[in-house]
Amino acid sequence: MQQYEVRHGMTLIAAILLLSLAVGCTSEDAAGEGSLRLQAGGGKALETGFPYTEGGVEYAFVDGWSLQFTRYVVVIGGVKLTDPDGGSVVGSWDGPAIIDLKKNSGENQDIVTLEGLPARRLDLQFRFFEATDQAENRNADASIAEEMIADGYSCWIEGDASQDGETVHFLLRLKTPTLYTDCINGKDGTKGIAIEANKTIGAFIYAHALHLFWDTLAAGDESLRFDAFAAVADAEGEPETVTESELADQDLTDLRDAKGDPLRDTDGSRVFYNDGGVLPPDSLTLLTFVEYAARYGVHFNGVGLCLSEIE
Amino acid sequence: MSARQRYGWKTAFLLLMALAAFRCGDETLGEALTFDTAAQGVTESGSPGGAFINGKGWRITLESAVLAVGPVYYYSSEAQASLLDRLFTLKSACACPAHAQFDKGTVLGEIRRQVVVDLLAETPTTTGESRGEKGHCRMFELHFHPPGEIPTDADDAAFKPLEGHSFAVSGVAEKDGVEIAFSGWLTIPDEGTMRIVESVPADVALDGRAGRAVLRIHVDRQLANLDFASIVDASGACLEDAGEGVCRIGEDSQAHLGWLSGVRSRRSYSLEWLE
Repeated sequence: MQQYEVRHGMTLIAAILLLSLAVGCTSEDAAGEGSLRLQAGGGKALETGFPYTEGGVEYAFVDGWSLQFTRYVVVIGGVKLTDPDGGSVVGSWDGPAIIDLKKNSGENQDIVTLEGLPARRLDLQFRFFEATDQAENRNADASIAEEMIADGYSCWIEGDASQDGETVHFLLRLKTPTLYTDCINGKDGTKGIAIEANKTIGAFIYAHALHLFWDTLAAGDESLRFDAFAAVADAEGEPETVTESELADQDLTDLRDAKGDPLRDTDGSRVFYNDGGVLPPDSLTLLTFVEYAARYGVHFNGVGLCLSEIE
Repeated sequence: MSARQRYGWKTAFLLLMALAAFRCGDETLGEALTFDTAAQGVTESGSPGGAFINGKGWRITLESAVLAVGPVYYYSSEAQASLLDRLFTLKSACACPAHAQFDKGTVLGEIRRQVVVDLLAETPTTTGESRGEKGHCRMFELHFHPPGEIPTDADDAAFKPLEGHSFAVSGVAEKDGVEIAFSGWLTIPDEGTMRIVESVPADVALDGRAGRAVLRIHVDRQLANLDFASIVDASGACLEDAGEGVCRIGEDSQAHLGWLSGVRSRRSYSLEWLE
């Protein structure tokens, strides 16, 4: 009888041990399957242009410009959902798709719906590609998509800015292929996305257009500016149109106005863009700054940040 | 309950406790570590005492170069927004002005006092003892505040060349036969996190071995984008005269903004363990 009790006790403990091992460090096990509807959008900046107010905060250019986007075309693909523990891929979509985020008044647009996903928390990664003829044009104007494919652009950002009766057209065709991984969910601050059984969870990749015109790549004291863009609009090509190649003419250590004089703030001090110490010292130009800003301005589910890797 | 039964239960209980303690390896506490630190100015060619040519084509010979740095923090996480991402294909978290979420990881060490470093010194300047814990330092950050804003053990004489600023430099720049003697001071504007050079990549094991962590300050990279033509007028006269034929690097000049970019650049600093 005593031997039986000892064996019974040991069996019970062994069972607890096994259960402990099984549960181990895993806090969220799959329980059924669900789907993810992934979209992309540009938020209110694309919808209404600048200035705009959101959440009680006014987003306006400190140098007095107003600005409207007419196109915001990106090339998205390489979506992967992975198991946070082992890294195995449980859902994927290669794409890529060429999507104009300005279309439909800036409302979120479908990228893909992935089905049969394990109902648990998953890590998300995706890519912005340079366009190739493998890309599917979802809704961009055909001529734009063709040019993006021909020249390998990953972003085509276009619009008009106005100040005191002057209008400057901007056309930024960027080659900024980037891999985004380990995304933080902007809705709740957790990592990745929780898939629920028998449901389709919505999520979106957010092209945060503000970044393109902020004067910092670091944290804090950001201001929206357009003077440095407008100053080089007549430097080459069409007058009153600023392109990415003209941004390369603006030296971040010596920003100039349209007359060639030092570009100054309203208090008379020279305008300085804070690159956060990130930019290569041999490429301190407004173009490089905007390329980094475009990469950093891509978020998940609102303003959730991802690790980004230049490709 | 017999002694045998009690023994069985005790054994099982101990096994369970041991399993609970070790099942998640990343929850272990760090072991305390104290290590010595130092800082030294360097250039691509070695000592900053020699001349070097910067990105604007000026051959620079330094006569003095001093800075005040501190606090310094050593972290376990990988660098945010790595400057070397293309070169080393490191991942980088987005630096978002409005909503930073980057986790710097464990603070493995810190120098909380401000120290003055003569960047032309032939040997590393001792910058104090860091207290923290063992681990692998993958990132560090430097704070550059004007003297007096941070506690220090340095005496007034050490700070004197800085004249209340964080950086001081003087020397001679030459290009296309034009020679300009220059001097200047620089204070990083107190805006946002401008005075913190964050997320500088590192790869240093802090494991208790002999030696010290030496901060390398790449003086040539700090001065890489100074165009000295911006501190003289068309006739070559100083825009701001510092006396004795020396031109001051004025705050309104390109040279000043280029210098500001240089001292803020993550590429201007590195960390090395010297035994």
